[in-house]
Amino acid sequence: MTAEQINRVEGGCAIDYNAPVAFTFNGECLSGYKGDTLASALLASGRHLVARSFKYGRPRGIVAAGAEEPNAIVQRLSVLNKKSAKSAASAKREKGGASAKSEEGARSEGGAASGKRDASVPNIRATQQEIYDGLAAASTSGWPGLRWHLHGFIGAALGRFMPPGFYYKTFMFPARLWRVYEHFIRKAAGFGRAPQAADPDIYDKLHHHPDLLIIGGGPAGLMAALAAVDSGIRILLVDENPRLGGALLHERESIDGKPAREWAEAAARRLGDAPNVTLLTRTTAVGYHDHNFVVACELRADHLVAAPAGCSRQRLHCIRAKQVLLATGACERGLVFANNDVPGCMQASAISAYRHKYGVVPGQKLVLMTTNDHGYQAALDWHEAGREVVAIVDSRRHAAGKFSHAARSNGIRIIEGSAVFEARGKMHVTGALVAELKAAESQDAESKRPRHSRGSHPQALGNPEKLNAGVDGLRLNEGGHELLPCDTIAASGGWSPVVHLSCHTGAKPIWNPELNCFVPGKTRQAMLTAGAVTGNLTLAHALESGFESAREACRKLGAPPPVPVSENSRAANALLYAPLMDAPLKQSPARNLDAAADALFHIPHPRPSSRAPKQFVDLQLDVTAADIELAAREGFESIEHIKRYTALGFGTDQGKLGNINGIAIAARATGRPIDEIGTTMFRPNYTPVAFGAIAGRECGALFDPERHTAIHPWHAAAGARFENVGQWKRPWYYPQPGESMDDSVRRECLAVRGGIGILDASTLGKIDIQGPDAREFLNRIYTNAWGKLPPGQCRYGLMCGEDGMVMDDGVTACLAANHFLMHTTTGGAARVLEWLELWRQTEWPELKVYFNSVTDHWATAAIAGPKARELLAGLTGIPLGNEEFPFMHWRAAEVAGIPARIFRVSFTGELSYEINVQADYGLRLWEALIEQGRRLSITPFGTETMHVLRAEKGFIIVGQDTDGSVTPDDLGMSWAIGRNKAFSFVGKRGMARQDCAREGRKQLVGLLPEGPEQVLPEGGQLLWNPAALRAKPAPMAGHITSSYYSPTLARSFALALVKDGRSKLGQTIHCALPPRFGRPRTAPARIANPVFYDPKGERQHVE
Amino acid sequence: MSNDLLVANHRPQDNAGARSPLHHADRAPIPGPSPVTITEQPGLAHLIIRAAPQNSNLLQELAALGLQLPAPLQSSAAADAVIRWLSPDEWLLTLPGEQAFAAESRLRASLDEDCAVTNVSGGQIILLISGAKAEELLRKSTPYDVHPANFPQGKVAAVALAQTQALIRRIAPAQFELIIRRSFAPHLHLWLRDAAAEYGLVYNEKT
Repeated sequence: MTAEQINRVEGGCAIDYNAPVAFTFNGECLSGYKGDTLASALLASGRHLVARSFKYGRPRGIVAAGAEEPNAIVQRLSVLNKKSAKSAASAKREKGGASAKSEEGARSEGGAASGKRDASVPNIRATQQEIYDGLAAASTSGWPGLRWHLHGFIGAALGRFMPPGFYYKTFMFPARLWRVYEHFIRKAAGFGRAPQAADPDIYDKLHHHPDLLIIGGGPAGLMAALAAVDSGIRILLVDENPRLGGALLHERESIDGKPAREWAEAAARRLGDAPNVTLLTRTTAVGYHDHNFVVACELRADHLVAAPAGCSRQRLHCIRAKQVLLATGACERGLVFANNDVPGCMQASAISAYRHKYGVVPGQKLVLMTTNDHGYQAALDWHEAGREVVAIVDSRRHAAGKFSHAARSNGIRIIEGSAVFEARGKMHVTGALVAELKAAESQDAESKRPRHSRGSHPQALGNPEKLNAGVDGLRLNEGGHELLPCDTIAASGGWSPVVHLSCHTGAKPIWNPELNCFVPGKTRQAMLTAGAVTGNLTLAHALESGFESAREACRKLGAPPPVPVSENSRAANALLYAPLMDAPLKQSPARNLDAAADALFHIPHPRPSSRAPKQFVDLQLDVTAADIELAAREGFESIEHIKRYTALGFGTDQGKLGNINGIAIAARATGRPIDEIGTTMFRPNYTPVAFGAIAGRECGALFDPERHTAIHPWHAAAGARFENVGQWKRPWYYPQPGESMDDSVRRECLAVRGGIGILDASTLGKIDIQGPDAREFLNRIYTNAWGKLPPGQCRYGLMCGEDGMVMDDGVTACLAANHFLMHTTTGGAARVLEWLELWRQTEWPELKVYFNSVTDHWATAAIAGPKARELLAGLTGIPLGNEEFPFMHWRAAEVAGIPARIFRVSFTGELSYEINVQADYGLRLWEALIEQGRRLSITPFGTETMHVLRAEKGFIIVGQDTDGSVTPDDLGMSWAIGRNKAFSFVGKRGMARQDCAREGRKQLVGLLPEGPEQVLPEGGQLLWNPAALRAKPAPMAGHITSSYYSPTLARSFALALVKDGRSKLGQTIHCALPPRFGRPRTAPARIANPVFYDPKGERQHVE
Repeated sequence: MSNDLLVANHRPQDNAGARSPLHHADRAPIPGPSPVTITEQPGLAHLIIRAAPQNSNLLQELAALGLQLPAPLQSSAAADAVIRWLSPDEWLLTLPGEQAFAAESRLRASLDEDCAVTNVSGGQIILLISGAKAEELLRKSTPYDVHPANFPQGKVAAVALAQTQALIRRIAPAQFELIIRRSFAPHLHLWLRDAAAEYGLVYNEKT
């Protein structure tokens, strides 16, 4: 074993040969170059084995060079893991890094996470992870190690006995043990481990509104952007690779006489300079949603040792585009043959990509199997790098095309009309078994094939060569096979357009039998397509369709389209027009697979699929051709069912390589054409997206807005505990040193009842109502009457929905004849304002009345207790006597030098003033009250104390004591219903319904538990007969809505809704308690009047 | 008229102890390559006017301030007064803080009964954000399109911003005005600090 880069050659365009990079993989120190992906760097060092397979534990290597990679799923370990980074760096200094095993092994991220922050990332494709100094990555499968692997032994021994549905079939009985089975099955399954500690990285989102979004920076996308750039429209181009150019970076094409890569680079430069163009590289468009909303995930810092300060590691781009151009290209389709998963089996195009982008040739001896001319490029690239091409195995009878011509003239052996039907080798490819493909007599072929039992598709069966010509119409010529020794088998089965994003819009892809691929279907979105995604793979078409798409987009956007191609336009803009006039490109049909590619998917084997070595269709989830055939035999017809039964395409790669082959095999096995089978539904996201990126900035302190009152800093400094009320942070209670919550609440309650307390009531909703019809509006929206309320007075109002159920309540003050200030509950403020506007705008537009929220404008300090008047008198000049300023009145006055509105209302039952000032002066007011109240021992109190005090008075809280099914009458508040109002009011008809007037409705009552220390649970169900608790269902008589301990009453008490409760005063009812030791329990309580304290209201009216 | 509606001064003579909702916020500058500047404009008078757009008395009152009644999604600015369109019958007028009561009284006196003027000075604050990265900072925070093509100078929009809402206006190519509710200001400020961290952040404290 050596970590030398044995497979590195010159000429990688994406890497910097002067910038070596050291990294570790599975604890082994390796080196590569800046620009390498983890996959290219591993292959450069001859490291092929990257994973153990999902089901059978078979050794797996790198197959592809991009997002479609199914095997090389790795875990990036926490970069906080300094040790391994350091040892990697030192290995780099030793040049070549003589395979020093790092202490921090592959699976040590658990230890690294002990610092409570864990930057490790599971489920990364090694083909997309760029390397950086100190990168530490590990396989996500294989225990105890990739070479000696327990799962692999089991898979090898028992694989034959693990058909699809193995887990369902095996672990069905007994049903109750499934949880146990599941625990172990889940442990063994999956890729990578989610970090256990907090993620130290930043994620964010950025919104875009381009006129034209171009997805894909290959020839079609670049051409479209170039063509549209001068129109001035806003263009956004996203590409998942670090460099623009797509396939031009590694293909053997030339544009205008120069390597195509040079044109791509020039185009990228031109676009980068344009102010109306945004280029996003390392950005994958992962979801295409309604309204042309596309989500793209940018890996901003995954290729860096650390993100710059304040920068996000990943960014989710939220793109609302007027036009979307899909230039996503095509993904090479592999071929299904026996042992096609042995490390060393690769995509043909991946060979070219590694050669030209990274300067890596991942082996010495290549056997290339292809169905088309395009695949030959891999062999040419391999040959030019000075490595041996053992043979090119072409399924076509007569190899044709410019690349096969080039191969022939280079003296490379070409075996026509043949295929590799089996790979040899265990941990790595050692040879390829090749045999001639022979057209079978169709009758013979059909009789030997496993047949779908129903004969419902006779036409389809009668036309096999057109449907799956390569599969059904050909048979292996047995006996005459040849073993070619090699270490790499590359396969090219043609190309699958990357239709995924178009499928996200609900468009079913359409099978094109001429091109042997699915192409994007019709979509409702404003979407255009260009390039290989259309199925036409020639470079000339990519450039032309890119140009035409730009013209169409401009037309649709009303922008000037680019001028048509001509000698004049070429002279003016050679970068744009020269490629479109490139004669050799236009004449060369060789790259167009329309005619060239054989429809071959599954290479026949001398033995039937079920007996042959495994022929993998979906490498990530270990789905074989035999599995799909078995599913068909077992009666699964729909591809969606076959997918769920076999797990085909269920992996994180969404079957990018295997799905089409799987569909073709299913088509043959069920005797139907591919277009009838269709595809499974591709759903967002195209590649996995980190949860962090989805959350963005909305986590931690920014998870949800916190609303603060003007007095909040004082509460925080006073040590208040806060309660969430809506989005508000309200002081809950103010614990003093050593106090429990109960202690604090008891102290605060007694202070208010016996002296003076102060509460921040700023959060109450406040709506300013103006207009000549304001009073009439109140009459209609509230249940009670407002006709006679004069300026200077306040009134409690109840608000109901049309159903007659209480929806909000509060005190409304008459500021002037046509001017009112409505108070709402804290949580109901926004809802009530919308409610008022709804009725005004839709039902009573004739009323002259306007509403404005003034909740935030006012800060409110409520002082409550027998000493409230004494406190206020020290800070204001107005007379406060009961005559001059009675209960339920308000006055404008200066308090502590601040213009204020003072409301003499009470939610505690004590003498109380709610002092409102403009919020800017709220803290000044509060501090003045605290200062003035010091000698009175003023006590700040929180919402919990407020709840206890109001409950002692039987004051309800809407939303706690009501639940949307409670009428005013149920609450004993018939006095607040103005039945004689001239106009009706909202809820009047609703509460007149028979159901609202019947007997047996739940009514608000008080409860006094028999144990005076026992606080009954809020929400507790009530029964008349405790023995009935065992009945199912138990006959419930009501439930508890509020329950507290009252320091004033020196006992516990509760409010409850009880059926016919008002007629049951004095009776005993039982509250169900949580069972103890499995035995149900109840607690008895006596039904009482809900007003426990000062029933005559003398204290709030106090002289 | 004036007897039927309450018009009152809400601002103490000495204006002492006035606290912006960001008074206690962390305002440490954040170093960075292209800092965004936050300028708070506290203590302004904010009046919400509701009336029919053809109300001639309102137009006259605004003309006296050097303002025009803005068209939908537009604003009109004079030396120290700005009026912004909020909805078809709703505008926000801002003035120097000490003018709140006088302006409200004047408007009230000249407008007829089918109008409303509400002082919300204590309920919202104005933040100006400026700098080469100000627009990008907004794009991190709102789904609204703030590109100059859609959001030129003078345009206003009530938008969802950082999980809450704001009235935004472009003042200059690289300067925006954010009007935010008082109770949400600490959250929104925290968000802006966090989102601006990669550019850097400085505060332009008004004297």
